[in-house]
Amino acid sequence: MKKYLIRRVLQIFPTLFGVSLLSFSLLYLFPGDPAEFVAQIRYGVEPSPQIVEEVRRELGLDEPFLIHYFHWLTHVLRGDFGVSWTEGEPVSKLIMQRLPASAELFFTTFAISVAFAMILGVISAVRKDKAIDHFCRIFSLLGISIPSFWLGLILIWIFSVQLHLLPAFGYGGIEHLILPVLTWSFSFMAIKTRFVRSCLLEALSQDYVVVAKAKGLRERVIVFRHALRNALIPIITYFSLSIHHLIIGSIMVEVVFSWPGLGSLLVESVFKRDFPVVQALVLISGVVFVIVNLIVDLLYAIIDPRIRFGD
Amino acid sequence: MEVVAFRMGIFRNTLCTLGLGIIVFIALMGLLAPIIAGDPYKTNMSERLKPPSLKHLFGTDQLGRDVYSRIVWGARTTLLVALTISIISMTVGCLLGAIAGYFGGIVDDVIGRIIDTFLAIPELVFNIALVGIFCVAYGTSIWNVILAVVVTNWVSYARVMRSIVLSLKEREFVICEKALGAGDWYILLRHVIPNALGPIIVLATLNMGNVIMTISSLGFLGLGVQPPTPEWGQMINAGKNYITTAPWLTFFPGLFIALSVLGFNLLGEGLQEVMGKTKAVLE
Repeated sequence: MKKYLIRRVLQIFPTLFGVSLLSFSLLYLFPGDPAEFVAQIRYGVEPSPQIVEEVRRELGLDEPFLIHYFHWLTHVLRGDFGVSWTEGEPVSKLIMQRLPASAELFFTTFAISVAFAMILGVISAVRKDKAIDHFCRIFSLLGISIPSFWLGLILIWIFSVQLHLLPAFGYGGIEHLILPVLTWSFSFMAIKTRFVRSCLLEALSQDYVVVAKAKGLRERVIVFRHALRNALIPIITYFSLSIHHLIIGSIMVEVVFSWPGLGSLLVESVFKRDFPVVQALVLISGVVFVIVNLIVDLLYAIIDPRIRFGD
Repeated sequence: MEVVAFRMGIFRNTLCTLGLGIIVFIALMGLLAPIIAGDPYKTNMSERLKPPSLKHLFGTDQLGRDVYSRIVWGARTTLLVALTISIISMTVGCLLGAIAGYFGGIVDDVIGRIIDTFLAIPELVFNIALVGIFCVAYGTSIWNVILAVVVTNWVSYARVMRSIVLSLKEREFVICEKALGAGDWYILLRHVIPNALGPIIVLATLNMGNVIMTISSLGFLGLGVQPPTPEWGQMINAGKNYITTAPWLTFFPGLFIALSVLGFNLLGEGLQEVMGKTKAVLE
């Protein structure tokens, strides 16, 4: 167990290194001279070469790549992502301002999607190949095929333009939350429903279910007390993996509804060429994914002894 | 035997037939665009924002262009870009994955870590960051989109290919060939890659759906294929400003995005089913 834990924890470091290197290198893909670009924003159209050099030193661009990377990394580890080029504010402050909106959207969508995915998935598996199963299948295929930005606009057209029931965009009360959550849940739920269905079907095909049936237990008892309990481990793993959406939720949904979250911050920053923000967001989304993955794996090993003694 | 059983399966499977039908329909739209549609660039200021009618099946846009023609030509844009992306990603991904799986050791470690890194960063986040950079750097070329999507897209191919090769490596026929003195590249090209084709085709089909979704999403954000080239996502981006007065500008392009993605998803799922069954029959 200890060996497994140590090995699994050590595994994340190469990936974390890769993610940090990749997001840092984005700066070096910048077209033209970043120092000149920043100097222009700060000091007007034609900054003197002296000012450009000063900015270059401040950005660390006068250093060799690896030393610059190392400096950047030490700052990042202290939570300092630098200063936004266009806003002049610390990147971490900009991110913290947007995080609550992203979190609010994510958790509401998550709660609703999980509830529905569980219900639909279980019904689908129990009534396999019946009408309701086919319906669920079509529903989830549509969920992954319909672009969320389009669905969002259609919902705006129906509920805001035609019926005047809900606001089309913005952030605030619960009425602002309904349409974005509805839009995102549709695709979020679709994939999860399929997963619940296949996990439960897998569990229902096990020997202990045959035994339970032979004992004459009622279907409800078999499904809920035996099969579902065993199916829950992969299901919970899978659900918790989607926590990484918490950071950069659904970019498309945020953009459609002008939701002030981190997804729309990313798009805005790309348009403004605000590189420190883009770098930070790419880095954070990668790191969060790696760490959530690690936590899930470790929990999994604690819950399920087959894994920790397996190797 | 295998091929015949497989072919029969494809046409008996409802999902496959339906998916294939949709894909053929969209492909025909793209191919026959010059015949079945008018000029997608022709503006007509006296016919701005006209609702759907017999003359303009899907109405006209803010510049008086025929939405039907733009959608038909858009099929060509989307399919060409998506195909290019898929072919490049497939080649790069399969090669790297096969090399990693076959040679193992330090090669596998390096490629494996690169794959892990790319899997960790959400695809769209990275696509948006890259396409933003390329747009400024290299102007509004279609290759920006292709390059930005390929950078993240090859990973899924590499991952699948690597695990296929790992499992094939231990099979008897490969061990035999080795004992007979066959070279590494010979085995890779002659045995491993043909055996991996099935799963890769399923992956490529499902992946085409994802790629189309990514292209449209980038188009919608204004970072994808640039106007005036007709592209569905970008058409919605322009159309959304007129959603109160001209909802057809948003409605029709989205319908075709959904339809194309659905087509590839249906076919991919169907193929998965058929392959499972073919295997069962042959064994």
